[in-house]
Amino acid sequence: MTEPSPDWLDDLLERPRVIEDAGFTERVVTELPSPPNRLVRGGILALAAGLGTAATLVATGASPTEILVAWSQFDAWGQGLPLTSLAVLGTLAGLHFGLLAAQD
Amino acid sequence: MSISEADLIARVITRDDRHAFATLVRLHQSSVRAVLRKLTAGDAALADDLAQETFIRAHRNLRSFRADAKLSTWLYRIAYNCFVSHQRKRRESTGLDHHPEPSVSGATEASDLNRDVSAAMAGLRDEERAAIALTYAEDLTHPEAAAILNMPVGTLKTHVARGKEKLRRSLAAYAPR
Repeated sequence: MTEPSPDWLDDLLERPRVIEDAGFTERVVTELPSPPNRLVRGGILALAAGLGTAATLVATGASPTEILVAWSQFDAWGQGLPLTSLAVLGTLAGLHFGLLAAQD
Repeated sequence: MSISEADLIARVITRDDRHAFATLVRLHQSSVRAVLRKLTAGDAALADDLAQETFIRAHRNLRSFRADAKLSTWLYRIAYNCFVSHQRKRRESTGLDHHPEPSVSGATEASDLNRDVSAAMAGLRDEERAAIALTYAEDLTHPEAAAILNMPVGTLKTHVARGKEKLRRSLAAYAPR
């Protein structure tokens, strides 16, 4: 009896096996999570900013007017206004996290 | 003009371009599904479910793909992880090791040869089957296959050699006379 070629199994296992797509790609794309639309992103952003501002107002006791004053006196931050500066920074932090949430 | 794979990846990441991602899936679906069919010993339905999960995970994590790596290798790694997760869940739910059954009825496109190879693969130990599936995967080197399986190249070759000995016996009918 002749010894089988040592390569026959390699040939068999290496044989290219093309699998037809047959709708597979379409099924995958359909199952992809849909990206949040701009309205939802905007909503998340507004909500996060609002919550950040509200939380900061409660925590610092600063009024919305004080925050607006702090905004308008941006160049005076180095000379004082610790409470209102903190409020503004809190608002900015709220916006920052809101943007991050919107990106996700 | 054809668009390079890197361009397609960039489009998916920057614009969430679904058409670009679909092109990537079309390019790689055959090789990924073929490896998963070997890992599942010819269970085409399970292999396709795992392949679908593979591409969805790839889409979710595409930002973490390093541009200097091969996309095919990265996809094989995800596919193997999906397979291992599935095996683990199955083991936890049944409390038993799963030994795949060769697919007989669902493999409408499978030739006798494919069916016999699947049946022979089902008789291998998990690590032997995985080693053979990845070693013979399109476009994958031994070191890459070993890295995916998290084992040294020498161990991979041992599993391949043992698995092939078993396959040689099971598939003796296909040996040239």
